[in-house]
Amino acid sequence: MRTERLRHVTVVSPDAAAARQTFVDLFGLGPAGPGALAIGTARIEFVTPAAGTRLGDALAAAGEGMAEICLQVADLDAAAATLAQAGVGFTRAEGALHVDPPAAHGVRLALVAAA
Amino acid sequence: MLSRIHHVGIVVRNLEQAYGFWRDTLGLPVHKVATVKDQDVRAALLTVGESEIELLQPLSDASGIGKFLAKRGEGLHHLCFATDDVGAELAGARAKSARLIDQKPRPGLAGMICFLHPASTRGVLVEYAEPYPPGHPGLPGEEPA
Repeated sequence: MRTERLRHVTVVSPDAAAARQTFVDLFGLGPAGPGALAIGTARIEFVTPAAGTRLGDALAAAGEGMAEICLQVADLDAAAATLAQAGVGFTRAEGALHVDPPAAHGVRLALVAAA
Repeated sequence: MLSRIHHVGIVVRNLEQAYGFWRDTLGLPVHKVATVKDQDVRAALLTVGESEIELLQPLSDASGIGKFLAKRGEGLHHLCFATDDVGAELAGARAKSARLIDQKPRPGLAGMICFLHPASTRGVLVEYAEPYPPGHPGLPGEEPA
């Protein structure tokens, strides 16, 4: 698998806009589209997830904080094949591979291809 | 000035086992490995683009990372921003009344580092790192990657 870069980190919060503003005020980060801030070639995305969703479960279990990371791969189909060959569980949805957290040492990890 | 995400810290039970996924399956090369004695942790940095993944294995249950592992299990631990002046970042955070974990920068695997308390950063444990200059011997306890 060719993993190219850290694409984004997701912060979950009951108030995503307020969380985003905290990072603007404290770290001086600039906007990178709705609900996100830019830092180098990566972004920090701020989300208020719905209950019962992947990220909603993270918010319910651990509270406000960093809940997911997303890495960009060169070829999503090749990445899926590599995961399958390695016996790593994942689901494919919304243009991303979501690795089963136990296989990624407890990390909610998404893999996406370059836009 | 913050320039990039230096790394994302991930707590794991066993570094060698974790390599099986992060290095061998995802293809991330191990850039640096060290035993950080004052933290009682063994750590590895794996390169991904301009950032890194830092895998942290506690060497005792009493260490901060050991307590995290016991309480929350393996998973995401902290987010580190790269800066060219860690002292200035720390002073800036203090001036904005952010709660600090470190009152002054200290040597770490990623460079001179300091942590902010997650109470001030929306539950995210944030680290600043000013990477060592080229030629710097690095942290005592560094091993060949």
